[in-house]
Amino acid sequence: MLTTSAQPSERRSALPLHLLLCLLSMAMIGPFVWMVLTSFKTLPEVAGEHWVPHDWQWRNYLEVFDVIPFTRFIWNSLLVAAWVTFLQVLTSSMAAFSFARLRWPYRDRIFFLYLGTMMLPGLVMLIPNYQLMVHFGLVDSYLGLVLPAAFSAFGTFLLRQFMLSIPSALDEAAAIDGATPWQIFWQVILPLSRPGLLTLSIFTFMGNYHSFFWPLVMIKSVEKYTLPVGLLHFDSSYGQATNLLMAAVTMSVIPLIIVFALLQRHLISGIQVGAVKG
Amino acid sequence: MSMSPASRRQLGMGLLFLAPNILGFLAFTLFPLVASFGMAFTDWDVQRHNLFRDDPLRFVWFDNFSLLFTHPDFYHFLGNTFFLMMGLPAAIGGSLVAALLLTRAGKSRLAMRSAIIMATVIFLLSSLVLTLGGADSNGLLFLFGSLMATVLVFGAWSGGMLYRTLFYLPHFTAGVATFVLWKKLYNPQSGPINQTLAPLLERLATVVNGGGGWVLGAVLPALLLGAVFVAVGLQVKRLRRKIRDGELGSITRFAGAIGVAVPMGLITWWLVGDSGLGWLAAAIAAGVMLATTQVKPDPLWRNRVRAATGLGGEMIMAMAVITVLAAVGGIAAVGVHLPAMAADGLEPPNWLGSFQWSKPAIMIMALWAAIGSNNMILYMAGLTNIAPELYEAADIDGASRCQRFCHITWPQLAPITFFIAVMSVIHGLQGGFEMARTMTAGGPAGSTTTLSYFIYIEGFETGRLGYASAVAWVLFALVFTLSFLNVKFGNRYVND
Amino acid sequence: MGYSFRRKTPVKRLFLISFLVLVTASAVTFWSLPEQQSDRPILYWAVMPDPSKLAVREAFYAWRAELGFEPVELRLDAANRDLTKKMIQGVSGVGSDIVDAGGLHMQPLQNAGVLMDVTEAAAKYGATPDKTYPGAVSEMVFNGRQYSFPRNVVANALWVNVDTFERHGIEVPSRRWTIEEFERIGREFVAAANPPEAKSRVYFTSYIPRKPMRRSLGASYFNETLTRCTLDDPRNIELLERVRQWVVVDQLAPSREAEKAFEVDGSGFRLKAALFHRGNYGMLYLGRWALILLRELEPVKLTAVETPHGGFPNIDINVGGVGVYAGSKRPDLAVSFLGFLTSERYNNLVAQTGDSLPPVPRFTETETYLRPAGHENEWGAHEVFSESARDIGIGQPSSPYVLSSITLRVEVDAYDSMIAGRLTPEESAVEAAWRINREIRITLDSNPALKPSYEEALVRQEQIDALRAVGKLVPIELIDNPFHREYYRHNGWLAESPSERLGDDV
Repeated sequence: MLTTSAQPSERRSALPLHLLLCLLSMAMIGPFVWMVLTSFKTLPEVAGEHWVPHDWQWRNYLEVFDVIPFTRFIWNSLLVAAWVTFLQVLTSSMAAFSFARLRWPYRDRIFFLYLGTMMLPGLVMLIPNYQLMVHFGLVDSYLGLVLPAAFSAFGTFLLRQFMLSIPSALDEAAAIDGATPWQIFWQVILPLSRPGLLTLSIFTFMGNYHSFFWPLVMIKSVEKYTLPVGLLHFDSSYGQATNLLMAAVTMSVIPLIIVFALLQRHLISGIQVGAVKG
Repeated sequence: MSMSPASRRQLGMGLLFLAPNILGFLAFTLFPLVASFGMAFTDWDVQRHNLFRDDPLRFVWFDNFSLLFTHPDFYHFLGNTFFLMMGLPAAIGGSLVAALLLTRAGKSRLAMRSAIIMATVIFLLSSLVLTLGGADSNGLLFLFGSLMATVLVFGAWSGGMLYRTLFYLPHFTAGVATFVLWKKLYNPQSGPINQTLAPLLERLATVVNGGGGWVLGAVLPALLLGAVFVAVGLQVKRLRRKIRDGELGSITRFAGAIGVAVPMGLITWWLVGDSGLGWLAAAIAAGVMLATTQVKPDPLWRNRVRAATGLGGEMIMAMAVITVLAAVGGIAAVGVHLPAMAADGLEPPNWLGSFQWSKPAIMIMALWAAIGSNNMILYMAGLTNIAPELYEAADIDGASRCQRFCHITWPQLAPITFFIAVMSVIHGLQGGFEMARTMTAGGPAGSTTTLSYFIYIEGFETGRLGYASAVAWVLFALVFTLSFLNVKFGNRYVND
Repeated sequence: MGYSFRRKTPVKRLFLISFLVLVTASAVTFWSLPEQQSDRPILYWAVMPDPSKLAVREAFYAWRAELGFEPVELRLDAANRDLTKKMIQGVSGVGSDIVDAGGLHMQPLQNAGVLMDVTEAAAKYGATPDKTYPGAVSEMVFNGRQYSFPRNVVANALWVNVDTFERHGIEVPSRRWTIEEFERIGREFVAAANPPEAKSRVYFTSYIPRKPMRRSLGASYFNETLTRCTLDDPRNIELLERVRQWVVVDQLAPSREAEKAFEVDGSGFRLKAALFHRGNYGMLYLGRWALILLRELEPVKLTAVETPHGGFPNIDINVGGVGVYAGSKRPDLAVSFLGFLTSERYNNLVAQTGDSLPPVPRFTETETYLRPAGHENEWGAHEVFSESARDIGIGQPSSPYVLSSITLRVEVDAYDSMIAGRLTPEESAVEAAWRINREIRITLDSNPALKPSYEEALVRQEQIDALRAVGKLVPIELIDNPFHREYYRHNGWLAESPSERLGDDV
């Protein structure tokens, strides 16, 4: 059986490809290189002309922990983002299943309504949402950070598209065998939607990790700050401690890189769908 | 309307699965949405209608809307919003290219031996430059050289993983961190971008002033303009042929004509200058383009071609043509004016502080962020879902690389492109708020204020949330219309 | 690579595992939160969280202990520089007890009713308007009621780097100088400091303070009754033409675009101070808090001068006001903070850290303030700030019929366009005035409750204009604009010409 691995002509051309990728990645990571290098500079040096610091200030990284409770902030961000991702993937996949696979009256009209709600700028919904939170007493709480973000039309839309591409022959076969929709959902559709679920997880996690405005207005106690709000501490009225800020941002990116590096292998192997076609 | 027990059961089942999502949706999305819609017709002002001040809420009906349309800057901000979206085709294309490259990298492994050899070569080269040129100016080159070498080796070792992570890196600092980072990068005095550009531009200025001007100021622009004309000519020819053959409906014809009229108008305007004459010349150029594409379809097809046939494809073609030609034409136009500019000395622009350059600065940053972003991941997922048999069949038929892309890859990716296009339009029109807030506060004299930042200013700074809601709903109408068009015609494109 | 293979973990199990992990993590988080309840009453203070605030907090605790009050716990809630957090929390009922309501934030917060009327409560602690600078009163008192007390006052004067002046052989300007002298000395300075082979440009000043200059010519943002924007006054146009000349032609100060490089993201001021220190700027337009930045660098000989005037000397002051949340659960404790701001302990802290001017002028006459130990290079500069704030300081322009943030933004945008060459000075002034007047109309249309006072103010304005036209004296009750009150007093146009500086809202 023919595999998709390299044929002789492909193997010969791997070097130019890798060189090109190498060059392009330099362009992509250029700002990062600057960021990491700046995190090792002293403050006057930051405004200087050289990319590379003269004296590598490793203690900047330690100083970050003195200025703000950095670990606490990262922990909060990770926790909130993880919960939001979990809830969103769960509820969106169920909703997407409903839109993509089940047949029920008004289905497409309601889907269009879902879609439409994404088109209104979130800003104007902020204050009513906020007052809702006040009403439920959720201000300054983790729950207040998680709940509004956990239910999104975007996730439903994305997963619906993924589910639509799964041939319906499978569920029909399962239905003939007597499976309930619930079983079809868990045993047939979800496993096949792995790439979609994984994609949504990555998107949601990243998006929520960086959310700034909502945590800013919701949280009052320092212990509950998420990272973007916590980074404000470096931006005082008298000057921004750029080097410390860059060190903090560099450190905040590390958990994300780890998570992504672990997950991305599973992301790309969407071979399950190929199984159906074969 | 009564429902049969069967459909009632189906409805129940459908809603049951929907329930968790929709409850949250009703609470956190629908309720505020409806509230803000109502508020758009009132004079709701947080400064007067809150816990402490109890003014009565008045219904002002359409006053908010008329206030918006008579606002002196509304059209400026609308223009800003659309201008910033011009980078979308490039962004989507860029992420597609990145996904393609990364997928190929994942499939074909580079032998470690070749990687190490190449890496050593690069490293030696950069060390050579370093020792020859002196540490200060070429330290940067050495740094990047060593980085490249390292990346090459690790990239070969890890298959595609390293490159995928590196390409997705911009997304790791998405949000406020990106904006702060780029604000530092764009700093005219101490930011690395200008520090790298300044000596280059200085050298360019000396070259131009020292007599090289005619090459850069006349020959190169002439060549580029020539290329533009040729491209436009080809496109016009192609459109005319398709129309005659009945492949394009009347609306599509118009869209295609726009695709050539806009760049020609823009280029003419840049060349002639920002004056009444410039506008006139641009209008004439655009008109000529529109006219040349008006041919009659072959009588055989006249009654059989629907107005919107082929619209999706042509719209994409038009967008691509506009972007590419405008970019090339822009470079040519700059080249023509170059000798005059160089006489004063060329300086890197003030980026975020300059009225003309603030938007391009934002677009560059957006492009960087968009290539290594969620779209790239979506494309990668989509690419792996394309059945290999299709490619094998194409290989058997002896298809070239280009044909493989146009006839297999691109159509197979159509649903994803469609999704990305819809979401990009939605986000593009709504975006710019966080960016403006963090980076430019709306830009020098409002040049980076998009409609969503305008909503923020009006709503949160002045407290007039009723007015802000009205603006938001106007924006919504805009987004909805564009998405609707996108869906209607895009869908057809996806399906045919 | 095969076509199909089973995954090791079915999706259901993945979900379950994630759920358990999350629940555990949340439990750990909650368990590790410090005591939410405290045995002492808790006050929140919405402010930028930098180290100096921690010192203030300690001083507050010590002050309360000294006076025998019960101990409280003061928590800092990071509010960044824009107003949104304070407004959203404020109008929803969950605002912080102590609210930083300085500068542009005061007007919207007070309009919205978020700030408590502290007239009587603050008097109990002695934090009355007469305790602070006369020029600050306009940002504390509205309609005769007091809403805040300053925690610092910034007097924006021109720092002078004496070393730089000496190096180029230019005489340091005298403390009170005119616009003509500014132009003359400025041109001499840039000529001497920028020989043709100079690598980097040396500027006379970091910024040309057009607001106090405009006032010194007799025109300001609004008319006497704050009913109309007067930026299109011919005196302002003339000033703008001169400023354009100074910036674009003479290059006495960096252009606005160049200045954008130093835009306030925080790091802007540090960079400006560094350049001033290095000698790229002869003068630095900043408050006394520039010391916080300058003291990090090598000492240079410093002094300060007032902003150049065109007949009516004045200084632009910013008031860092602090108010009490109208919905606070413990207003009595929060108001005590205002009392703390009048204490010797707090004022000396401000004097020592160099964080602008202490709110109570009495404490600027002490040795601690005037001659700080270890900073001999600064002696002689401090009194310029405190005395000018006390004698000729005028607060920010503000009209009840339009938001100051809008006024400021419109004026700055118009100025930017002028400097960039997109508008002439006259067009810029007329444009700014037209937009601000349009905003006034919109505000009145959307808020009918303001109409009666507006009509009444218009009547008064006619009276003032009539009296001025025939050269008669004007009773002070007719005038709302604090700038005009001082200006009229200075020119002897007031009916009962008081010789004393006008301090209270009449």
